[in-house]
Amino acid sequence: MELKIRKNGNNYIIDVNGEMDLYNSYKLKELVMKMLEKKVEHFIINLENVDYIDSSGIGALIYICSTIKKMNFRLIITNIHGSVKKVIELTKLMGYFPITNSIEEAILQMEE
Amino acid sequence: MSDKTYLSDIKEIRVNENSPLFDKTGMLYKEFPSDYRQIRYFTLLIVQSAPLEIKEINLLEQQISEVIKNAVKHGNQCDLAKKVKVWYSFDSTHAHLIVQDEGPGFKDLEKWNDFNRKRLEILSAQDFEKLADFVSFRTLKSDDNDGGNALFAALEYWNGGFVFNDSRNAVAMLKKYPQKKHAIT
Amino acid sequence: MTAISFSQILASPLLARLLVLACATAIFLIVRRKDTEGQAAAFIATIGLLVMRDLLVMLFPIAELQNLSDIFYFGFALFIFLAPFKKARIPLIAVLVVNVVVAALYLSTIFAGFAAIPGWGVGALLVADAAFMALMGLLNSRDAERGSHHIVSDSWIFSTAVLMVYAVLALALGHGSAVFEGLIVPVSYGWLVAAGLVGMNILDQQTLAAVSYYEAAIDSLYNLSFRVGTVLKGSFSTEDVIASMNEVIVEETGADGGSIYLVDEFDDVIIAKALSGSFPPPFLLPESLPRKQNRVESFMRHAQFRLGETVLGEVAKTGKNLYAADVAADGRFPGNGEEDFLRLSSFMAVPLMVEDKIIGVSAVSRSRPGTPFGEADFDRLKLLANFGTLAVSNFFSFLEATERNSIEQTAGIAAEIQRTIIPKKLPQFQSLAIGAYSSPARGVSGDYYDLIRTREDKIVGVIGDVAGKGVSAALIMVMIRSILHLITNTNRDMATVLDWVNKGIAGKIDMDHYATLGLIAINIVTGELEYANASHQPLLIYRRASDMVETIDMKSVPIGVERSTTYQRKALRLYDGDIAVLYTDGIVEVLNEQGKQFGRKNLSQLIARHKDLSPKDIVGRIKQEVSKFIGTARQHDDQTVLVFKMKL
Repeated sequence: MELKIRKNGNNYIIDVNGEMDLYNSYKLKELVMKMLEKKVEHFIINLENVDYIDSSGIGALIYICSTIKKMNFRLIITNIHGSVKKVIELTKLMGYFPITNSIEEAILQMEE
Repeated sequence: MSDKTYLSDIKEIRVNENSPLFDKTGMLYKEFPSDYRQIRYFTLLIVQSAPLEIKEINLLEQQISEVIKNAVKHGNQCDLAKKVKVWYSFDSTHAHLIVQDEGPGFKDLEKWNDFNRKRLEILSAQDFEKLADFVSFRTLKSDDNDGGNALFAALEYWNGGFVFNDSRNAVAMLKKYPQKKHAIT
Repeated sequence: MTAISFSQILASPLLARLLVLACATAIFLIVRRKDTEGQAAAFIATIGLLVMRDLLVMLFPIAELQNLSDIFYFGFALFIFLAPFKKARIPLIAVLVVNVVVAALYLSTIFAGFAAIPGWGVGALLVADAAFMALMGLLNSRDAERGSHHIVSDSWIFSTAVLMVYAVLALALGHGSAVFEGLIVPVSYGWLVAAGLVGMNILDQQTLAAVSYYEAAIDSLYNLSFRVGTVLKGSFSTEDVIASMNEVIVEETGADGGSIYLVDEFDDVIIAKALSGSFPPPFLLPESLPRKQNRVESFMRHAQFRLGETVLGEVAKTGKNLYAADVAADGRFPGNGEEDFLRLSSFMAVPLMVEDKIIGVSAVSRSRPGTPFGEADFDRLKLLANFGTLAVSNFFSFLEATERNSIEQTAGIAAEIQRTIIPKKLPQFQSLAIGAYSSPARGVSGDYYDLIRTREDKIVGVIGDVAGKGVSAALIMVMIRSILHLITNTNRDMATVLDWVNKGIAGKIDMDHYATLGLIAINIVTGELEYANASHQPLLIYRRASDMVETIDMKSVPIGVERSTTYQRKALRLYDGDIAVLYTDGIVEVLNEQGKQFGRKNLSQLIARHKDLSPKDIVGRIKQEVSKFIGTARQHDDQTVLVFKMKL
């Protein structure tokens, strides 16, 4: 799994490439923690290139989501599709995670 | 709209040694050492027998990997000497699996059912504040790599049943694939 | 009675009358073919009456006969012009009764001599009839439907006028008058011709209107085909195709916005697949959704409902069309607010059907008040929805067939790839004979074997089992083979070779990338053997000296699991008559009808039993035995065996 960061205004977009499984999901957690230390406050996690996620990956997203909420910062997860979307639906977390269908919508929502 | 859970839909993990899902006739068999590093490899060895026409085979692979992970990590404590036994059978209409480990069994099963029931009640009330406390089931043995959500999805996914034996160290599950309603995807 | 001669006929007014009546008949016969209301028939009956009357009168030129026939003539005319109007029925019946009474009295006057009705009495009756027709016509024309054209309603004015003139002149001149008989009567028949022409005109108008309607419909179908077809050529994505269909539907129905929903493949829900323009929700929005335009639009764009939920789910469930020309007056639509993007003024939704299955819903809306959808718009929506669905579903059936095809095709590609990498010929040496066989279970084999001559005196035998199926497994096989061919002729030991293969594969590839591998390097001069194993089945060596089979194994992990894995090797030696065997799961784990495994012990015993045969024959025996063992059970796993026999 590869992680890339890019900026859009105040928003930091993390592009995740590959599979978020039990062997590498911790990497996303660690990256977000590091970014929080560096005072990043707006996170957009782009899962466009993620075709596979398991409970560890969901767990990492849950952890990231609750940490960011606690600090009163903003997080949006975008571009979920295929089995990734299916897993989030099966765990009934579609309403829990802040999700948009595209990065554009995420940026719009961030401004509200 | 489709996220709504009706209270009548609440599912729970059942214990039934005599469930027909434990009938191993006609199933293929493989066994694996409890090697955490090879969980996805073992999963692939099982899933590669599934027919190519199954839609969402990615999802099937992921669901199977969760059960095997539970057996390896929580059942057998990643002890290479302990085996994970898998019986499996696939065709275009169903996927049937039995996974057995050598551990002491899922002791917190009842606690899990209670937790899940509360979770589903909170979901049907759409109370996302309270939900935060119910997104992950953790026991004393859970670590950072445990998402604590695999079983929530499993209960939804294995629509033909998800049942443990009396010792709670073997679980049988069935996924029934509905036939497509129409060709437009 | 007068004798009749041809010239008399020519000279008689009969010819003129018959000519006019013949014209009228011809016209009405044409009209009758397309006339659905039977009015033409009534006219033709009248013409028939007149023809009969004229012929009779020619034979018996009696004025009384003419008068009597006039009563019938006017009776028919009254019927034609008044029968279509329900309100006029009773007065019509009353007048007809009066006519019949007068006719009867007149007959009795002629034959029985009662002077009840004088000659001019008939004429007066005719005038009264004509006046009555005019009055009724006037009253009825006020009630007539606007825009509907019937022969009667369009021709009553001049017809009544002509009949009135006829009646007055009949009264004034009488049937005896030559002018009356020769000129007035034939000319007066002209109203029938005129009525016929009016009928033809009406038919023409109807045809033109139909043509124009179908032209517009065909134009819209063409527009749809063209737009959807253009998209289909460029993109196989459902979203694009459905989006273009939706856009055309919105345009052609003059809607402000529209959306298409498709029933999910497996669940009983409908999901929005396309939305264009301004499409306010025809149902109550969830409370938590902020009433902002972009949020509402985003919500609608991805909306989904269970079958039966909201008006859209109803259409999807019942298959019934929904035509709410005036939403405000329709109780099914809750208001969401008065803002532009929330207000709905007119709404239509139709199911999309393929054969008898409901596969989706197409809906359009108008927001500006006072602009309801008309019947023509509703017809257009139904037409385009049906046609569009047909075209699109044909396309997706085709896609499904090609997808099935492509599943077979990818198997074909994988098989091709395999064909190129499996060794075509087995090398043979004076001191070392080699036999091999490989049999896939289903389609493409996940098993891989190879023989690489790395040095004059060294040959490396490879056996492997790649996890997964299809093209990705075949590609992994190719990568492993390439790496092996590159590094085996460096003088590295087999454990190092495995390390390098593993590092070449692990952690770099996104798809499934695991394989077991077994490597043996044999020195064909000395019989020295080196064995390394990545979680593959253990090596079997039959020793002639002890007549026993040794199992050489080591604990290891497959290729591709972890970059950091290190592999082990064992150094051994083969002596004359010794046999080394590499094989895959598919041989030892194969099940018979009772569900028992063939097992390594069976295989070992088999090798020992045939110790004197050549590797080629040993392989043949193994194949036979396994086949016998399986019986009628199915072969689930690929089977591969590699046999080496030393002849020092």
